[in-house]
Amino acid sequence: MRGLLRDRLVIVWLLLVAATLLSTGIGGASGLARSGRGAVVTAVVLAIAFGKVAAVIFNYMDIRRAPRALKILWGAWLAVVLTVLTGIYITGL
Amino acid sequence: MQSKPHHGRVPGEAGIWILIFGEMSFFSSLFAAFLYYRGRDVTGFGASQAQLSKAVGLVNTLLLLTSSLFVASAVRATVRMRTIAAPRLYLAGLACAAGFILLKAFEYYALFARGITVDSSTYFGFYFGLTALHLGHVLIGSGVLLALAIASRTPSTETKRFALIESGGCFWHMVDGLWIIIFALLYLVE
Repeated sequence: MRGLLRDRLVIVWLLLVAATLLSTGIGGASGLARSGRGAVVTAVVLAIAFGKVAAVIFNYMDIRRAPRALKILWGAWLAVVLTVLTGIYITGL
Repeated sequence: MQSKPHHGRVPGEAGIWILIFGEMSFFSSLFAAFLYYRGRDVTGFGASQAQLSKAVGLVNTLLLLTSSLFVASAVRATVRMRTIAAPRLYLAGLACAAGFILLKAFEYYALFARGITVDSSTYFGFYFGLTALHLGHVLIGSGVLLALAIASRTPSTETKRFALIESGGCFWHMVDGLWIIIFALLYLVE
């Protein structure tokens, strides 16, 4: 058990599950959104989702050990897509 | 964890990264279109979204995250030439994939039973389009996992062969990553 908790792959999985439970709790029709802070909640939900995708790409796809160029490319791709999606959501473009 | 020093090594075949970048960018354009149309009909999208069960989406997300853990562990076991553990781990990942497919089929069935189809609303057009496209990737990925389970039974030191196995693993993680965003957009956006 202690061995498992020292395994990076398992630790990442635990964080992914925790992030999923958090975003499911705050997002969607039955979440905090009804309090009138829907836009903030959604922006947070999207940011959590992209944080999770980053965790998958860097740890499970092993990009963390890839050449720097590939790391930068993925980091930039994630940041751009998150920014564009959040931008469309907030501005209602 | 391997302690081998890496001065930056591209995981898998270089070609798989072109595929993954391409696929993820294509899906992202659909995600942008979804939010664009949502901006034009916030009330309608909200009403349609309320027809979905967040719990079903949550369980499916947990299934794919868990499958990714199994597959990443399986690839690592393959490097270490653990020819008994590796196939079992791929099969555990495949079992999670099967659970995802069954639950998705149940979700479709429950919607159809209530008369909800791809034509019911713009939201459901996106819902069925995105989830069916993703489901196609889950099916292809399941075939890949089965092939990896078979391939990892025989030990091999061939770099080329290992790169192929690692590419298969990365394809599966992409399927998981895409679902993470689809889940957030279809079930959690308010």
